[in-house]
Amino acid sequence: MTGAPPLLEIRGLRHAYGDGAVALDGVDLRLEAGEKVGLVGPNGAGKSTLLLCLVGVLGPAGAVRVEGLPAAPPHLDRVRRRVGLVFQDPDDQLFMPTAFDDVAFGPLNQGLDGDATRARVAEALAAVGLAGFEDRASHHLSGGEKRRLAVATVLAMRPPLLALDEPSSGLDARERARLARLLVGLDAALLLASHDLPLVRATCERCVVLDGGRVVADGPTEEVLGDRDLRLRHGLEAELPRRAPRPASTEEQP
Amino acid sequence: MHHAYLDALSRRRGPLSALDPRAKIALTLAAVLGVAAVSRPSALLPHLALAALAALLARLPPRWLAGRLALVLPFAAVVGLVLPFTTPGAALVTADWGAFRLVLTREGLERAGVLTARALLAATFALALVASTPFPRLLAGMRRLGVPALLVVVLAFLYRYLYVLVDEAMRVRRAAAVRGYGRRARLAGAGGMLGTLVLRSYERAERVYLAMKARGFDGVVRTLDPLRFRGRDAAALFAGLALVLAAVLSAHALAGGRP
Repeated sequence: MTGAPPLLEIRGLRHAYGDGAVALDGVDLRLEAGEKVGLVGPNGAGKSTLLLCLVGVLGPAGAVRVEGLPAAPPHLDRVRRRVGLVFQDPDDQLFMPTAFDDVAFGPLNQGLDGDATRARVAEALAAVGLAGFEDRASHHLSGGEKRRLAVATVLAMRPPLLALDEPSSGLDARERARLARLLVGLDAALLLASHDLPLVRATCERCVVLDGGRVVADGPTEEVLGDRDLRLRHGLEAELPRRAPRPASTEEQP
Repeated sequence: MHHAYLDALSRRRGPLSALDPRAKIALTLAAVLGVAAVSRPSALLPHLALAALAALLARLPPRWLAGRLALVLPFAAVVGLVLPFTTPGAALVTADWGAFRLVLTREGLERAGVLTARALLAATFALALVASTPFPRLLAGMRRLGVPALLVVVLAFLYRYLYVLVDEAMRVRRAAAVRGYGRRARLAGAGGMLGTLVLRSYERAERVYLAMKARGFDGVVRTLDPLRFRGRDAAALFAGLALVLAAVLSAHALAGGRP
C-alpha cells in the first residue's frame, strides 16, 4: 500500500479495566480523512472506552495510530492535537471559569499566541452558534448550550478527527437537530458514539456496531442500521411492551 | 438547578464594575489595612464613612450586606466575649466567686467593640470587591498581581465545580427526600450522603483530568489575560488611595494623635 497512512487505524485493540472487566476485546477500525462514522452498540459495549483509547488515555501502546503516529508517548501531544474528544458530560469538558478560557485552553496548549488563539475562539464559538458568549460562565448555560460549547472547545484545536461521546443525550428536539446540522457541516472526520440511531443516520455515512468489546458490523449506515435482526441481536432495538387496551368505557358508569 | 444567586451580584453593571480588578484589589487591601490600624472607637468614624461609600459604589443591597456581615459576627464574637474580662482597666462589674473572679472593664468593652467593628468594616470592603467583580476577572487580577498560579488555579476550579457540587448535593438530598427520608433520620444519614458526594467528586475529578489531558494539558493552565489597565483605572486607584489616606489621617486626628 502506498500513500499517506489512514487518519485513524486501530488494530487488535484490547483493554481491561482494573477490576478485570474486559471493555475492548480486539477491535479493528480504520477511518479515512473526512469520513463520518457512527459508533453504536448497547450499554457497556466499550464505546466510551474506545474513544478514550483514541487519545491514549487508556489502552495499550501501539494498537491505535492517528495519521500513522501511535497514540502513546512520546507522540501523545501530536496525537491529541489531531483527535478532538468531546466527553459525554459537558461538566467534565468545561472546567474553566469562562467560555473563552475553556475554548482557548486547547489552542494555548498547542502553543498558539494570543491573537491566533482569540481568532480560533471566535471562529469556534461562531461555528456552534455561541458568538458573544466569551465571558459567560459555563454553569450559567443551558444543557444544549453547554453541549455546543463542549464541541467548540475541540473545534478550536482544528482536529482532523472529532470523537463525540453521546452528544445528543439530554438534548431537546431542537437542540438535537441543531447539533446534527453542526456535525453534518464539519469538514473534519467524525467518530460519533451514540444510542441515538436517527442522529447517526442523519450525520454518518458509515456505521460501526460494537458489542461485547468487538466490532460486530461495519458498513454503510443504511445497510447496517436497516438490518432489523442485527439491531435486535446487538441491543440497538428491543421490543417494548404493548400497552394493554383500556377496558371499554366502564369508567363513566358509577 | 437554581443557584445562580451565588454570583448574581457581580454580573450587574455599576460604577465599579468596569474598573480593572487590580485597582479594586489594591484599594480593598489598602482600605482593610487602614481599618486594621484603628484601636480607638472615635477613630472608627472616617473608616465607617469610607465603608459606606464603598458599599454605595458597589451597589450592595442592604439586606444582602446585613446577611453577609452576620456571618462574620460569630468569628468576632469569640474574641469579643473574652476581651472585656481580660483587659486591665476601670472595673464596671465584678463577679466574685471566691477563688474565681471576673472583672468587666471599660477598656475591655471598648476594645471588644472596636475589634468587632473592624472586622465588620473590613468585611464590607471585601464584599464590595466581590460584588462588583465577576469571579473570573478577580482571578485574572490576582494572577497579574503575582498571586501564585497554583493558588489561582485551585480557586478557579473551586469556583467552577462548587456549582456542580451544590447541584449534586441538591440532587442527592432531593432523591433522599422523595424516598421518604425524614428529618429524624437526616442526621444519621448525613454521613452516608457526604460519602456519596466525596466519591462522586473524586470520580468527576478523574474525568476532568482526562478531559484536560485530551486537550493537551501538560501541567500548566494557560489563559489569556483579559485585563487592560487604562487611564481611568489609574485615576480611580489614586482617588481611592487618597480617600483611604484621608480616612487614616482624620482617624488619627480624631483619636487625639493616638492610633
